[in-house]
Amino acid sequence: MATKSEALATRAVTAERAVRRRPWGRYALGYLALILAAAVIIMPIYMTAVNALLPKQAIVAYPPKLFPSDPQWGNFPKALDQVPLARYMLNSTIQTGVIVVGQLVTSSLAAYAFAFLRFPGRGLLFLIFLSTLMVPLEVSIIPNYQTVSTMGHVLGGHILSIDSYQALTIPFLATAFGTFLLRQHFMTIPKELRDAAAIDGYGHLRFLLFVVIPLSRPVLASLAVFAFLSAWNQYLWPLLVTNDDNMRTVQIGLAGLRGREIDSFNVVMAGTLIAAMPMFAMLIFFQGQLVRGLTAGAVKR
Amino acid sequence: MAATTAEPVPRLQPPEPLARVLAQLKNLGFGLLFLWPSILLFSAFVFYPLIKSVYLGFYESDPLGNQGDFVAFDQYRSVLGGSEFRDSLWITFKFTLLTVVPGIVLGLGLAMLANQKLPGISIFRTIFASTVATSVAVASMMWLTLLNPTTGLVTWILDQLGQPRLNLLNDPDWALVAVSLTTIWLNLGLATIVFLAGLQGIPERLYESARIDGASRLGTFLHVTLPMLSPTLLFVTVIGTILAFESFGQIHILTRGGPLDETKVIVYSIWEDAFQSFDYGVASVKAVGLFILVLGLTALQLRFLERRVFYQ
Amino acid sequence: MSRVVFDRVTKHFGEVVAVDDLSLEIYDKEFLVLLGPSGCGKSTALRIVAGLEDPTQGTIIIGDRVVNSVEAKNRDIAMVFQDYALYPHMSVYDNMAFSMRMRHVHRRERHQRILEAAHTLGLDTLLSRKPAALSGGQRQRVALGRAIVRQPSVFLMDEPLSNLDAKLRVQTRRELIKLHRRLQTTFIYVTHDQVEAMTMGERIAILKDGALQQVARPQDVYDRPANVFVASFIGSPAMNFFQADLESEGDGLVAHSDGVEFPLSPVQAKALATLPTRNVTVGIRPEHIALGEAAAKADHCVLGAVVDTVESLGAEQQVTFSSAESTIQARLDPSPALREGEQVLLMFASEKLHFFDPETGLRIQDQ
Repeated sequence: MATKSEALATRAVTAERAVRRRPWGRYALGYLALILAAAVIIMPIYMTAVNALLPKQAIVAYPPKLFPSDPQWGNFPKALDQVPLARYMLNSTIQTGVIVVGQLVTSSLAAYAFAFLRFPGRGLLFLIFLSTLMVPLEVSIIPNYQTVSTMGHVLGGHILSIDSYQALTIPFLATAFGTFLLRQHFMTIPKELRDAAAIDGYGHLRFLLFVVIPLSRPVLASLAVFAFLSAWNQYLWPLLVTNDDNMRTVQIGLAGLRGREIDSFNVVMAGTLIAAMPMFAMLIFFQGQLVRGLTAGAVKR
Repeated sequence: MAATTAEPVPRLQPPEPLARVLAQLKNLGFGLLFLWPSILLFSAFVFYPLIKSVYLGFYESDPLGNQGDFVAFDQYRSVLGGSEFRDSLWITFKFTLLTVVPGIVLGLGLAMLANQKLPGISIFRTIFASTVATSVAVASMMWLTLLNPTTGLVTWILDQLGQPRLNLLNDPDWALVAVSLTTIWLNLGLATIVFLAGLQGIPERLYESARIDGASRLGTFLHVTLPMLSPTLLFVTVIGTILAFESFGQIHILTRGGPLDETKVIVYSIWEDAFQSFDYGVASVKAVGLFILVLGLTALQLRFLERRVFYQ
Repeated sequence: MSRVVFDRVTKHFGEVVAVDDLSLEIYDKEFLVLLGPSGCGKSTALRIVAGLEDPTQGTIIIGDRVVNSVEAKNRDIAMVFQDYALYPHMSVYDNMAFSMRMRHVHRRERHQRILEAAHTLGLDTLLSRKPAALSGGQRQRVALGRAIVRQPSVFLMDEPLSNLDAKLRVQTRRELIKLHRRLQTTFIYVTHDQVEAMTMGERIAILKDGALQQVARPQDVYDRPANVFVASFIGSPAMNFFQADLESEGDGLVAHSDGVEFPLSPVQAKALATLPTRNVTVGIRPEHIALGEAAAKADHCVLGAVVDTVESLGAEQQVTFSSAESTIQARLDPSPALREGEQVLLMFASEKLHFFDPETGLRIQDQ
């Protein structure tokens, strides 16, 4: 057959041709686009960092300087000095910490009830829970503010009052999103485990604490990171309930830098960077959980 | 084995009605035990305020913020029909359009870039997602630098492009655009993360199938990527719209609603009325209006867009 | 002409060699099965033909042109994936129309082809449904339909039946054979199931660790397996193997394994005489073993064994025996029904024996 010789001929021709159908060009183009995009995205953060390191005269330069030739690292301690950033951080930490823990606890309990307990009206109650997601914060701020300030006159303001950690945290201790997320996960726990636990004499609380929670660590972590992010970044509510500078959170304190008598803009920028640090650290160390928490909502919706 | 005698198998007795009721009550008890914190918190800080807001709207407030005369629906009519509310509605609408649409386009674009199988791609993914770690306050402060009329990078770039030094944040024509720009950047990280997750959920086989079928790059994007992304697109659109309507922080920091009220979105207007003018009545009306608006808009979006969404 | 040729094709994934110097010609209009255990490279080889992977070395020829640098869409092939890969948001009709639309085939022509294919596959009533509303078997047929309307020169199938239940699998097997006859096109079919391979393939190409073990007609693969691997892969339960020593006895050779003597015919003796060492691997298929009598028949081996387990299948019983140091599997007539612990005599004809080189595993020539 002619085919054999044909094959040999074609083989000789194509022998050395390294069959790379993905030409160099495409790789280069891909990287170029990536680098360009990354540069644009990073620009605000980068410029802030540059400005934070510039000496006072340089920040009014035009065109704006892109690189600090004489980095003023001293701007950072200056920022901490002139602005009670440490205090703000502390407040934010307490606020966020309490909210995260609170949300984890309340949503675990609620999710458990919805996933494992059968009681009349369960379905309706769950829908009512979900409906809270539809009520935007803005609708409730006025009455909530009134509640907080009124309660400030009750029992010496220890339960709730303006300029208190309670005011910053208590309204946010329950979360329908968290309840929903955890319930979805709890429902995947096999019934056999429940039965085994029941036979072993575990009551509901024990079952929750010693079986369900350990099995739900990844979801809980994602929820924690998500809650951390939203609590730390809150703006409107802390603005309303904190008048005393000592109680301000990082976000409000940061915004207040504009009006303060600060040395100059570069110090303000240094302060901004310091304020942003915790979140960036969180992103770097907990990227996985964060992504999972954010996308969990997207998938279920 | 000896053959068994024809004895009837003893039947299990069904639980007595009383026992059943007791079991249900027990469950209810536990249920309430586990649910009371959430129920209490939601009642106090979500449902009660909702009703109270509606209630507050029925009363005019005096200049000191105390509850004034009962005017029932008159205040609702005058405020919601008034030009101030309509203006802020229009501005909020513009703002939403300016942030949601570019946000989706850019977010999807970045996600597609970040989805390439290139070495070192995870670094780029982290960079693209980085703005998710910036809060409204941090982002606003950062953009304050960029938008600075005398020394900002954005100002300089525009200068190079032929636009003389624009004081963006103080220019009534451009202030909203500037704030939108900040907001788009702020939300880009989240959008990228969500879209990237969506893209990674598309089975490789479909792309291979399209490749064999002869689809071009555009064809694959239109007929495989977009349809498979439709749930994600719906999610981002709905959530994005809701978040845009509820924006406050960046306006408070960047423009304080000005210049000439050109950036006074609804929430800012509510805040101003309630906490600068102490006009709780008007503010509450606007808040309730916002609530109904957001609810209605979401329902509309779900109704019209969900039809074109395909779920697996 | 739609033959497919692998010419010394090798594929590396980093350190792993997925396809190892494969040379194989698939004839025009042939139904060839690529068979092997998972990880043997059969799917990779198929994907290389499709153009979804590039070979590290070697050439792929479809028809009479080298297609190494030709895009998948231009190779005139169609592929049916294991999980069907239907576009979930499109109806059956649109799924089948997709590739033609991408090629700008005229609407009327498209419609014609779809109706024909749908009719052949029994999909006429399902054209407006979406994949989610179809059963597994229906989805599989849509995947086939999508391939048919492309009127390709080569059909590539990657384990298309493995997601179907057993009964449906048998039915679909037969339909695929009929389809092949109807379409008169080259089929390359990948599977790990030797029953599918034996019943469907005109030839079977067996792969192991990326290397071609044997390519031949099903009967030949069964009667004359090229090596120990093929011999044990084809046939269920697998062939029994013994290690035996060769001894001269009288005129001919005899192979000895504990307790068994395999008298060899002159032909066999001649073939085995050329072995460098004096041992050989002997194989006998379970179906060629029968219960024996004490008075051995000529040209038969006799072996004493104890029954280990019995699995009765109605039409036959599959029995596992232990004898000396080895276990032997046999497929026997259902009666007499054997019981555990029974001592029996087994018997098999020496012409049914297979001999392999104990070092290389290769079949000894001219048996």
